[in-house]
Amino acid sequence: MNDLYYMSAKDLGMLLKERKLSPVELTKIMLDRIDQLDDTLRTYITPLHETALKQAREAENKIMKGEYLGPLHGIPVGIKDNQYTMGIRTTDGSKLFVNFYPSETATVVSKLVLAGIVMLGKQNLHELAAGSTGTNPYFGTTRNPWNIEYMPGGSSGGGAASLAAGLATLATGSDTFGSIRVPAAMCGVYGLKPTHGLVSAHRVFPTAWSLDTIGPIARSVGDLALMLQVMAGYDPHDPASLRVPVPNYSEDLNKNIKGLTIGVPTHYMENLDEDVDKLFHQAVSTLKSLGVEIKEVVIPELEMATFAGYATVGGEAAAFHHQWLKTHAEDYSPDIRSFFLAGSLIEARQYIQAQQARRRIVQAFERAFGEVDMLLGPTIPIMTPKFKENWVKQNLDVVKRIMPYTVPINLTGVPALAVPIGLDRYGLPVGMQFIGSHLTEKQLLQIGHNWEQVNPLQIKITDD
Amino acid sequence: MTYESYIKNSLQEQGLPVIEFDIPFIQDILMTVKQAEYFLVEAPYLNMEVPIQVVDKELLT
Repeated sequence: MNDLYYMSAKDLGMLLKERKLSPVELTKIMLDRIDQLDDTLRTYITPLHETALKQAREAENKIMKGEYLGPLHGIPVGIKDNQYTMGIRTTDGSKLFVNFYPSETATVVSKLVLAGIVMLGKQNLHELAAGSTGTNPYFGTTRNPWNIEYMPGGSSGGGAASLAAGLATLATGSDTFGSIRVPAAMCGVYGLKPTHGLVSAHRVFPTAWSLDTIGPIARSVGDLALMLQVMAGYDPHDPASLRVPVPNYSEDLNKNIKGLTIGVPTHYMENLDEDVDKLFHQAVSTLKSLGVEIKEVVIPELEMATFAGYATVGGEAAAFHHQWLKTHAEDYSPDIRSFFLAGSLIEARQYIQAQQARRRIVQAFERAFGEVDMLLGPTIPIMTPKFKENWVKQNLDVVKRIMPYTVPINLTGVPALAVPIGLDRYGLPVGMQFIGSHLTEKQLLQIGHNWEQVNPLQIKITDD
Repeated sequence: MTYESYIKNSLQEQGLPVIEFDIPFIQDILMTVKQAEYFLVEAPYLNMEVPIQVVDKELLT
């Protein structure tokens, strides 16, 4: 039974399709585990026992009748609680929306439901998807399953932690300045931040419109590919949605990566914690042994990313929250309130300059992608931190440390795949991110799948 | 821009709450922005760039 908690969607899907496993049985097993462990881990805000069992029974009926919908049919999935679900409470991790029952479902969730998923519940997140640690004073702080004294990362901390603990098979996330990749790194799972506009953001609570990107989180790259296949695609309701063909993301996963050229920006080598630095260098050596050519690249424009990131996130979030900040300031945690109030003091000039800087960073990335197939850097520069008592300061400090490494991907709209690279001296996961040019998800998943074969979570920091 | 009185006045002017506990955190964030802004000086003719904007399809039809 233990195997089922951690089995990939791909393998579960085969069992379900061949009627060797019942979706109802699988769902009950997962819900029982949530009941057992989630009082401590707090990966779900709203577990959905009834809905999940209803969807599982429907999946079972269809599969028994030979109406198999595809590889996600009957698979238990956690939905980040900033994605609308009609008639089901959607809180955005905030006291402001504690009683919000949407009358519509987010396009991305509708697509997953149409593909036959079983929705286990609405998952916990850093309040308003605007922080990177996973603290949540209103619905309980998510704990890192590798060690509950450590943070799971955020904002999609509930999703990543649920996967690490075997409390879901797949999870949805959103990423404004690292919210898929940061918890993937801290919890030792895989997370894909797709090209901006590839996955609809319609009826997902905005954090910062021009950066928000919806994407999958899973325990394997193969599962990310299965999820993205369903999540991607044009949505006329989302003004930023791209009208582009959706390729078969799974077909080239096993293709050899020998001969690829990967650039490591010097920017991503600065100010790294010792264990991150060590494990990242080991990972680079391993990639070389797989036949990848590694080049150091200099992208000076990345120095503007921190400014552009703060000005854009702060400015856009402040605009969305302006009225609520005026009337319900006490319903925000101090870290988020301070972040948004500081955003209210960003000048129009600064916001526009941030958008000018973004264009320069886009141009710089295009230049770099003229020389290399993709870029690579640590997902975050820090080892996963232990929770501190002064969590307000800690939350803002973590954002300050990670922003230069995560936000360039959002500012430029390019995709990035976060993968584990080993365990630090305290046994907590460390990660790196492959960064591609726009719409190169297929290639990113291919290299990520090749990387996965080295069993990165078996790699432990060594003293030599 | 990061002075306490400036922050308080600016928030008040917008009708936003002034919460004493938040002020040092707001100061710290604005200081981070200000320090990061120095890198813009090293980007020549940044003002000539057309800003990245959300181009809404409804403007094109």
